[in-house]
Amino acid sequence: MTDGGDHRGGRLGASFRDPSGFVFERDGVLYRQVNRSYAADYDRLLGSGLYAALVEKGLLVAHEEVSIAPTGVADAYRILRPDALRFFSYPYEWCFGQLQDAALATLEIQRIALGFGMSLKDASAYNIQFRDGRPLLIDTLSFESYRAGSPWVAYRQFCEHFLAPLALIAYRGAALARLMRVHLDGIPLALARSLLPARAWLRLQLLLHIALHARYQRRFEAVGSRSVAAPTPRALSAKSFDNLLAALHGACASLAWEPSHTEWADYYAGDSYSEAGDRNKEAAVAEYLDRIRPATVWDLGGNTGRFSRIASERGSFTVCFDVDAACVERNYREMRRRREARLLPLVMDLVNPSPALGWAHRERFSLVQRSSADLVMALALIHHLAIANNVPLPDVAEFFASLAPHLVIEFVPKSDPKLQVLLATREDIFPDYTQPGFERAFAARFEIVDSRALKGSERAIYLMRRKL
Amino acid sequence: MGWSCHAPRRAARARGARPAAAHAWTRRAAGLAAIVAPALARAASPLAEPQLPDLAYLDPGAGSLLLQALVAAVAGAALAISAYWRKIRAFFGRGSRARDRSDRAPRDD
Repeated sequence: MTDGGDHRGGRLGASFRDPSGFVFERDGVLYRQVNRSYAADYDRLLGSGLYAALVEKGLLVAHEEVSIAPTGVADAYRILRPDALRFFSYPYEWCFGQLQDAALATLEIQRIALGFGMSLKDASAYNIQFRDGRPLLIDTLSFESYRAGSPWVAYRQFCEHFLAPLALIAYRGAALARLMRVHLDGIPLALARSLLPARAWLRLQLLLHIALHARYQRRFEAVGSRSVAAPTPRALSAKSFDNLLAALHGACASLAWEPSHTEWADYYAGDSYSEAGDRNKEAAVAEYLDRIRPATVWDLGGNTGRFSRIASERGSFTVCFDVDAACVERNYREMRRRREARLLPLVMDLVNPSPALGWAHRERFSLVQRSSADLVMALALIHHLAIANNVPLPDVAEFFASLAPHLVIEFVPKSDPKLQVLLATREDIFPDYTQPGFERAFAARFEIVDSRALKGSERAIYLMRRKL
Repeated sequence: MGWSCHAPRRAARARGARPAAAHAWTRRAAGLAAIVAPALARAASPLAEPQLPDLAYLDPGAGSLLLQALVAAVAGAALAISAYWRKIRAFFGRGSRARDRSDRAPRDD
């Protein structure tokens, strides 16, 4: 992360709201400070065995207590160094399956926590990250001692962060996942209620947790003012709590979204590219990866991850970005089926990538702020940026240079059948879009290490290194 | 809002005889329906809601806490009904044996 924030002792983004502690960065390492106010709950988390149980199941990030100087904030109780993550992703970058798995993991963590006499006080989707292909709770300070009979304080947050977006995607399509980028505190239930179709209420669980929940919020929101008396919540027995979690689990697990009839998901199945050309391209990509041996690869416009896997199977941690949620969904399912640990599929629109968001632009980092790649792949992508979206080639080069020191890029000439389709419906205002023009534009930021023509097409592939 | 559906449940638990509690079941279901049905109908109705003042000072959290007992009761009832339904099916010898066997099969997933 490249967030400055020195006046806050290196404190990072989203944790500023939490009185229990916060995350800070020192010398490139992330630490989490536990404040004295959270000492009792922290000790209970470790002493009860809950921490060990969750870490063993791979549901909670492991940490080490370290003795480094605290950040100058007086009430430090412990400083933790959590296991490092290769990449931080956000719920508005996940496909349906990832959000669903994150939801089910959150419920599982809560179920286990109750068995140890603790409960999640937060059920934020931002507390979940994907590591080795599986959802992981990264906020060690999310737990509090459970008082028998008390309801789940994070119930509302769970519905707003998980159930509402899952239902919206399931009933209204993947485009609504972007609502999460606008509503960082979760999708308001009244909004979800107004957007969901009437047939959604045939599902009892959605009727209860979204429609009725929105009603209850509305009805009791004025509690505390003169006009509305404050009713006391009924005690929720342990059995009832279990039932509530089981109901939420059923609600999340039964929702489904199928990636079908989309632009790109059938790309490989179509006739875009000869099989021989693809094998030729795979061989070139493999050779370039072997030459650079990158620890982290970003595959931009990676579709369903065919070329990402060349990198991940070679040991590189690979993030595969695509604008099409259907591709990402397919990629994620394939990743899960094959239990691939080094691949992370994410939804990303490169002409409108994730910005810095939240309070003072510090809560959620932009894509570029999170750049950690040693090598960027941009295969069959350049024409979508330069022709379909009118981004000048020097700007494309500039953007790629901001992401990583190495670039594997494919050039698709105007004569290519795919580009002919693009140009059929627009005026050709791209006189510089030629192979020499492409090389000139990129030479400003990169040196060309190697290039070769791809057999079976007029395309070419390049390995480039960023100029210092 | 009353929560009378819990009274017969407590009574049934006090008797401690689950299989014999069929009549308590119907009472419980009726009690639950009487509470839940109007709430659900209101939840799904598209009627305009009254304007409330000072939105910035309102806290939607209170309703979330109040709702949970109701939601848990409905979920509990749904689970109990499905368990009861399985018993009825088992009584008539439908399908349950095959399912039991598959449940016991070792998982190699």
